[in-house]
Amino acid sequence: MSNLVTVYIVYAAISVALTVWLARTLFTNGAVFLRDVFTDTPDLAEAVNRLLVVGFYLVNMGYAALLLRADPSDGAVGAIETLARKLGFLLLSLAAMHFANMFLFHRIRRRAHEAKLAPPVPPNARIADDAVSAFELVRRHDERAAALR
Amino acid sequence: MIRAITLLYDDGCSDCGRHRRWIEREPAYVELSFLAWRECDAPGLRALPWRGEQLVAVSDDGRVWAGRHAFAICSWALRAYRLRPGRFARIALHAPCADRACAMMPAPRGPYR
Repeated sequence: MSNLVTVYIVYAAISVALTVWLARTLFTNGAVFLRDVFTDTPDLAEAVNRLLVVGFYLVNMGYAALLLRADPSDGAVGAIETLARKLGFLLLSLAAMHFANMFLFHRIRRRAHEAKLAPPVPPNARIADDAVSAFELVRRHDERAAALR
Repeated sequence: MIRAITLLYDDGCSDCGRHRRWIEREPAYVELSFLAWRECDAPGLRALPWRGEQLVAVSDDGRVWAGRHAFAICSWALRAYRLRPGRFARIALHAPCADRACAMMPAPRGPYR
């Protein structure tokens, strides 16, 4: 029984430490992405970053707590095996969460970048102050194209 | 910075109208409006050589794209297709209106290719 208590204590300590470390990493590095996206509103970038980290804490702590329960095992070897299985499962879940978060940052940034892209092709003509200029432009393009042929 | 684009199209062709309705439903980065060639009276637009023959896009800052270029601008204006012009072309051209849509979008004129 005392083995199980030890497993629980070690598991809790490691999972809390891991979550805190990951959340802090996410917070500091995510800030760079979000500053790039919300260039005009740094306050909003900060707020989004904090809210994301709070969500990260809630999900991970909740998940780690749910994973805590283990069946009693015999001896130190059994205890280590149980601990390793639990930590392995937790680490993989945290990795999935982490990559999901990175993907989210990537998407937010790509969306913002996409909205600023210039038109993909140059205009065929321009309507300036008078209508003749557009027509002239097109005629000159046609002449140049004919000369190239 | 383009905020609005007007698309000049042939409202006499039912497939072009279907195209129009499809584009109007898609979320866009810029404000898109449609104008039939035969209703178009502005002197600046009347003088355009593609009048009634090709799809033409006119931006609020006076830039004009015709034919395939106008088609590319449609793709660029829509949120779901800005980075995926190929997907836009597939969806737009595989609609039942493929032939007519192509008729509205012949090869670009002049040196742009």
